[in-house]
Amino acid sequence: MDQVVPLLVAIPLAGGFLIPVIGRFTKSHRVTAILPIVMACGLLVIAILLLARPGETVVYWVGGWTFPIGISLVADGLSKLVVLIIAVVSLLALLFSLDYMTRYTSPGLYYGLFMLMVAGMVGVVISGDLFNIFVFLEIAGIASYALVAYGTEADELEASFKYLVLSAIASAFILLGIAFVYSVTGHLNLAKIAEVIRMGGGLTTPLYVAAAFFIMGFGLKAAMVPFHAWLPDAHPSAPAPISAMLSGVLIKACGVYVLCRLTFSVLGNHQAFGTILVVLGTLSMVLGALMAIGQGDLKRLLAYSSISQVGYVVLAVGAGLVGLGLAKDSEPLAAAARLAVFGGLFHLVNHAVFKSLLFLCSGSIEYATGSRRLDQLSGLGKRMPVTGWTLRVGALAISGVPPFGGFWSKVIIILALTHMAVLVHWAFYIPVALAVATAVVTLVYYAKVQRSILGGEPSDAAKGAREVPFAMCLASVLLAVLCLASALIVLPSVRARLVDPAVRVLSAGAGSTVEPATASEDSEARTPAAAQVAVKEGMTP
Amino acid sequence: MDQIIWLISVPLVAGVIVYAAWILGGRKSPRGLGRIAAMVAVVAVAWTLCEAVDLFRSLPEGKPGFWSGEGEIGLGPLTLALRFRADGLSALIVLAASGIALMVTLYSVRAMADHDRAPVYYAWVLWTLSAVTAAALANTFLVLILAWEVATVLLYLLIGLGKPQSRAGAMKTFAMLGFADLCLLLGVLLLFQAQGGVNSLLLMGGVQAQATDRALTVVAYLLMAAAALAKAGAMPLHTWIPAASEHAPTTVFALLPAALDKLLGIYLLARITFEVFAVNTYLASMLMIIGAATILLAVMMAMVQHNLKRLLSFHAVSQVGYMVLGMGLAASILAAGRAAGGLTAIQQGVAAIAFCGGLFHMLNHAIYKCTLFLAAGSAERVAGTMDLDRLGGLARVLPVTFICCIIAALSISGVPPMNGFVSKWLVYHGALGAGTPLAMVCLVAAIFGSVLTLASFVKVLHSVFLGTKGSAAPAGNERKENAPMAIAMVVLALACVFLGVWGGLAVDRLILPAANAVGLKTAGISATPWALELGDAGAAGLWQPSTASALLVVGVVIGLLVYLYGRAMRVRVVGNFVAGEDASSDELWHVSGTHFYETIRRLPALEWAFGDASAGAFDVYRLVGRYGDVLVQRLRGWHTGLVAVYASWVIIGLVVLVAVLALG
Repeated sequence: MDQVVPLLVAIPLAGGFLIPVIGRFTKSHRVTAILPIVMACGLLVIAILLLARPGETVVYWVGGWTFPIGISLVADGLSKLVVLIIAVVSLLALLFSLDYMTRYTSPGLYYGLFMLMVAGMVGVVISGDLFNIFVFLEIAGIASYALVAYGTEADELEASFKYLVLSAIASAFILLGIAFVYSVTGHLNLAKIAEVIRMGGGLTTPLYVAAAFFIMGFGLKAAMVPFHAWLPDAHPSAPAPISAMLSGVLIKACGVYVLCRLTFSVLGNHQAFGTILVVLGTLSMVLGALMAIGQGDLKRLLAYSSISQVGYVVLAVGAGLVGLGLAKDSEPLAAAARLAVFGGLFHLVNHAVFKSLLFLCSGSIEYATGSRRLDQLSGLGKRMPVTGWTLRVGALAISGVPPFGGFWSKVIIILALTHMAVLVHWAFYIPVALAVATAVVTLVYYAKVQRSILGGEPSDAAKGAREVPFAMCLASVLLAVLCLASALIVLPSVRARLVDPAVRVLSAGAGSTVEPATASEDSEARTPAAAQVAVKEGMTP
Repeated sequence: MDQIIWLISVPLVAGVIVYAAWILGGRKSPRGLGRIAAMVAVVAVAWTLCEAVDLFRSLPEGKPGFWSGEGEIGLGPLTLALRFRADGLSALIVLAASGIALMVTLYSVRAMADHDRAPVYYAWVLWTLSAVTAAALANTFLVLILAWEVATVLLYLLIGLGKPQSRAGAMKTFAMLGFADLCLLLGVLLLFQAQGGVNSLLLMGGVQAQATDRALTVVAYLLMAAAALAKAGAMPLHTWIPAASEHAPTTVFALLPAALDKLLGIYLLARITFEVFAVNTYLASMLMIIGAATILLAVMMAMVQHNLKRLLSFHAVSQVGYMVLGMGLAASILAAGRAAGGLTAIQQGVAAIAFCGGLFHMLNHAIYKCTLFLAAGSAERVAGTMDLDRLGGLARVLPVTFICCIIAALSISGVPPMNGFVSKWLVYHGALGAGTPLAMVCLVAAIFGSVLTLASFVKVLHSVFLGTKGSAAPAGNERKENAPMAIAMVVLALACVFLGVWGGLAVDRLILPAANAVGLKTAGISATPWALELGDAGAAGLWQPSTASALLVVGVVIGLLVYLYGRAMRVRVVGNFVAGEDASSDELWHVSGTHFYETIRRLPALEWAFGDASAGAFDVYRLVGRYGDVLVQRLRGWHTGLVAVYASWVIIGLVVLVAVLALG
């Protein structure tokens, strides 16, 4: 089983170099697209194979070299979940590109960069040491700068430049942070670093500085306010399937995932980092939503909404971190904290699905009408029924209307935060109230989107619009079905397979050894966590 | 109790069938499909009504019936479960909702026949009924919130079926009710905390009522009450009703804001005020003040309206005041009793009377306001406008509508022997029984509001049905009634009369079980077909509706005899002297009567209020919108697009992080 793990990186990485070569020989988009789609299917199959054994952590040492010189690839519950999201979204985005990208030239370059970005993201997620995380982060980053600028119009170049500059600042500080960590602990392997920090009695000042660098750096990749400013330019400027990838998975794989991994499993002092995540998450959630209301451009609105929704995720995860840090012996608190982490990861899955869907819909609309201004579009509901309905589904899901997944994850986040407010500190009522208020604001601006784009009589721009080609429709419809299907995660049997292993990895990393008293249905899936102090389970040699 | 599942699922499934037929039929609505959809809807709703009656009759004496679904979902400390409960109150809501829905669907058979999305309309109406039933029967807050939210979304969609201008109103409705729904959610979460985080989180009933002596429970109650009041449309959360009224389809308004939303809102208010929480005096006083203020202010707004639907919608707000006032009075009497260390029998009786008044008014309001909206719909169908200045003289064309409208107007104005009088009278009696200065002020406001209601309906009856023909009225005196619409209105109008004349019986059978269900002691009240009395509790007889009706009939007969005697006398009849003008033109002699009410608008104190209220200064929605927009623009201003600015944010953020982590 562990032999398939390197394939996760190798397949897309090979694609990243093979496809441009194919592109030299053919100008046809369809022909060029065959290989990446096959590769994305392969990724999906491997992700599902890995998920089929939920309790298991797979470790692979590259080239057979082990610690300390070897490079480890580790697929535990959290990595598998994120890999699954990456595989699904990239497959559907590629499907969508099949027709959408015919408007652009040099398909070989596009699909090559696409696969390179996927390789980078998967690499970040399954790397077992800090330096490789950085390398893969840069691979994903550089591919995405190029993809944002893919249209090579003035706007797109400007957006790409801003993205490049801010992202480079983040990368520089991340590298500096890695250097600090290495000089203090003498290790780059995450498990070893954690061990040294724990044995050495906690964090010293250089490590705190490094932690600040990491939170800033990965917070920028995750577009947390005040490090968010690149995103509203970069995400709308990219071609629609790339926007879907950036908002749907890149900010999560390169930002939220690493933040979670470092703060939960590696650094210790969970309360301080948890509090910071709660503050950053709350800020992002509120300000992103407020900015989204004021936007007249559909894709910009979606981009700000991404900031807001990822804010929910970070807020929930941060609250869980605070709770786990305090819950040494208190089972109710640990349970509430796990619920918060579950809510956060659940929302992360949901957001990947519905935000990709919304960006693909915006792409369809732009494809059909040539415009994405809310004030120039109306009456598309009748002209483009499939896109109209999928957009409606996405908007309802993100606004948290039952029975879509978005409703359940928001409810669970709010419930868990309320618990934290009672069990930890009353100040948690502030994010609770703000989360509710933000949900209303989200409802309002997505209602506005639906009303102005789909309702009314067709505007001038919408007069000639026709439904988009089949592949684009299919990608949107599949994502719309997933919006509904993701609600099933709330069911215990589904949860035990998908999200619970990830929650367990994080809570075990944060040293919570208490098992839920409500001995739930998935107890067979829970490994006895009594002695679990490892960071990425089984990562130590 | 599989009955409960049938009740909820039959309209749901019928709606799905209709909707699927519409999708499969290529989204076009040939008349045939519309007619089949209407038939399916009528049959499904009628079936639901039969089930509801059956449910109501099968309730065991004084005990609620329960039903639990399979499969609970454990979420760490919480459990989500499907549980339902049928008791007197929820069965009453289900009964009323399905009854009204049956009449409205029957009416729609003709009224919506020409609508190009008629099947969708029926599907949504059926789903709405299903959602309302589920909300009323839910025994967990989670199911309640879900159903409640679904009802909101469907209302938004239904309002959007109207004229193209209806979208703004639909949006406002959605935003305000969506906000209210989230308040409900938050309130439930706080309540859960107040209960000590027990695993029965979402269970209503069977849990000790929460005393409202801590900030936590008070805030939880306020949030949940805000949701209930917004749904019912009490001030200051009422502004969605008038905003949506003008352009929404009339049948939608007759169904939802006039009837089902009131049922839901007051249902929740009753549940939380008497069962979930033990409300303290201040909160009860707040309810009373909200009730009284709503009655008076909304009716004043109603009087000066020139659009019939808008006018009716302000009355739909105003009448909520009586229901809230009734609930508030009952709660305040109970709170005072609790504070004094125990309730006397008289206090219990009076509290029950006030509660019954409020609840009965909810039922009555659903019936007569539905009648009024349906009558307005008939007039709109004939005249094509709702502008009071252009209507007039429709009584000849729509005689049945006219009679029904008179009955409903008398009922809403609280004229005996109609049902509106009985329930208002019970509320007045509750206020007298409470006896506090605040209750007296509220009593005066309520009675005054009732008078103003009558005044504004005199205007409606005159300017729509009487007088000479307005410019929009059809020429000729041809009857334009049709069977389905007329039947719906006549049944509802007869219900108004029946519930009034046999008010005692109605209270006994319908309202007292509901009062029992939320834990009010009704032992002291004896309600027989002929009398409504606070029996051994010491107070005198409350009201004898049937006797009074008999006397009224005698009075009317005598008056008729006098009139006929006068007619029998020989009098000289001559034409009017018009000084040579052409007297045959209706246009010239048309007096709509709306202008008489402009005086009210110009009264010194009210002029200011009306001026500003029209501009939306009291409208929460607009205020939030205005200040929210300022905030958003300020934030946008900060996003200049300059990379140096953004980089400086990043650096500042980093410095703060380092400072917090490394130094703190």
